[in-house]
Amino acid sequence: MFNPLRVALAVLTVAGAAHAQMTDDLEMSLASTAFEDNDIKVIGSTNCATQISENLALSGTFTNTNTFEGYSLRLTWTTGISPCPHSTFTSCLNEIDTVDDEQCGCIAEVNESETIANDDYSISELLESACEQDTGESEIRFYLEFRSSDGADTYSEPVVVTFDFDPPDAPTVAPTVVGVDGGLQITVPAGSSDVSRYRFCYFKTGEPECTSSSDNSKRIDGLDNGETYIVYYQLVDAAGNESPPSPEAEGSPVSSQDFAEFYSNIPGKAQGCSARPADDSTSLLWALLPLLALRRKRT
Amino acid sequence: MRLLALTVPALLLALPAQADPLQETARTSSFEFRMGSYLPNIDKEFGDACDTQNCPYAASFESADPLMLMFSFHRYLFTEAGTLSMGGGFGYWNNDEGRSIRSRPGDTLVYAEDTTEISVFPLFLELAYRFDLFQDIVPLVPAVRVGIDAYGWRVFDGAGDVAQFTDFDTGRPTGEASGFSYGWHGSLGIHLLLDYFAPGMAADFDRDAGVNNSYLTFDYQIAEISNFGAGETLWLGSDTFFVGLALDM
Repeated sequence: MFNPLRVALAVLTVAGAAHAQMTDDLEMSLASTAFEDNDIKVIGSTNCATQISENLALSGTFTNTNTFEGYSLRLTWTTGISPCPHSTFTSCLNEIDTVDDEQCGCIAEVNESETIANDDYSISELLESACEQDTGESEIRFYLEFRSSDGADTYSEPVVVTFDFDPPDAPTVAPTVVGVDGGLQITVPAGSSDVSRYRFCYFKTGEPECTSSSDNSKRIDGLDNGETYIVYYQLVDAAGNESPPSPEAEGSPVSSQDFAEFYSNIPGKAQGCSARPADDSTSLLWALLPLLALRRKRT
Repeated sequence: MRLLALTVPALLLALPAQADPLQETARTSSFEFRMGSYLPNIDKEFGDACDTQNCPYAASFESADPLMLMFSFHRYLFTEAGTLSMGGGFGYWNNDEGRSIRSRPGDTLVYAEDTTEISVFPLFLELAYRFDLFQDIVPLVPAVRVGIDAYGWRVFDGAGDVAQFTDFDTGRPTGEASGFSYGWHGSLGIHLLLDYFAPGMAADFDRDAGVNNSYLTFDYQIAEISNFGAGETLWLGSDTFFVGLALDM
């Protein structure tokens, strides 16, 4: 018996499956050394110019599992959320237009080719103007568009580049500084979720020296015992934006004896205190220790 | 009826020839894991001096005795009158709870905020004898072993780097605090045969994994690791009570 609802459902299911397969067949990548984490493409104010000056290679691939003919591929960008419609551009000669107050641009177009890249188009130049903003957060999305011979468009998942120019708030708590032998152990309160690193700075006089860590505790070695050092820290977000400095704290490295030094300082070899450093033969034995891991039971 | 009369005696005769489900496979070797609280006799090197001043291990590590882990493998040499075996093994022990010290050894102990750490990696070869002739009647098996040892050791400073020994007079570093100490060990123990309490499970374990016997082991070990008295190394001997699991294979 004919059931129009069932037929409609079947059509919708097939159409949905075909669309999903198409989207899966479109893949994009933005390859560059500009991003610390290639999965999160974030550019901050501190390194904006440096990051976008890196080679930004945008490319797309289409896996033609359905043996389409007469299709075309386009690489486009937008400041909006959705991809710009195909009709935005009459051609793809670095054309820039505005759709719903969002900027749209066409980067490259190829016919019946399964690969596409920004060979004649500088992504760096496109992103350059974004570095001029002072604060706030903005995004540019890149899409790979597939247009079939009958004029139906399918878009890839976007590659999103985020410009985050908002640094974390200045820390209000001074670091805790403990003097250790030839160094300082610095501990700071854990930052909020947008803090990805801590920048620890210290100085006796003159310019501070700074070192970063993803941990909120850091030991700094190579300092002079008895001298007073001033310590502060900054919070750094994923985009590399640095907060203003924290309040300062002081600390002095304190001379102390680890076990080997204390052992050495017990007077008189007559009473003992006779362990000596490793010589060449013991070094050889140390080198042989990993062989234990390779040992196999004979059968 | 005649057929039955012939078949039943034949089957009865055939039964003893079948494999005994509880019969063990051949024993050739054993594997053992054991652990025990290890307190190295480092301070013993200083003798009576420790009565009047702070000796190094007690001061830096407050005489802590973390667990030492030991793994060994033995090959059976003789199994007719007890089990005589020869084998070797290795272990690991680490104490990262040490504290650096500000005061000199003879002064009142003052700790710093810094840390120190020591790691020990024992290697050994040993002969073992297990008096297991009557273990199916009484599942307690006396065991004895003697062997020679090479204990690798390494001391770390608060920064996590290998520490340095220093010259007593000048205080200058003389070399990395890392090396080997050699010596011997002997132990006496009682091994409890676990198969005695679950023979069916033990038979399955033998058939499926080739493990003949499983023992819960209790050993008291005396080790003298001081380069056989020649000195010039950390003394790492100890009296240690080990508990472990041994598998006959």
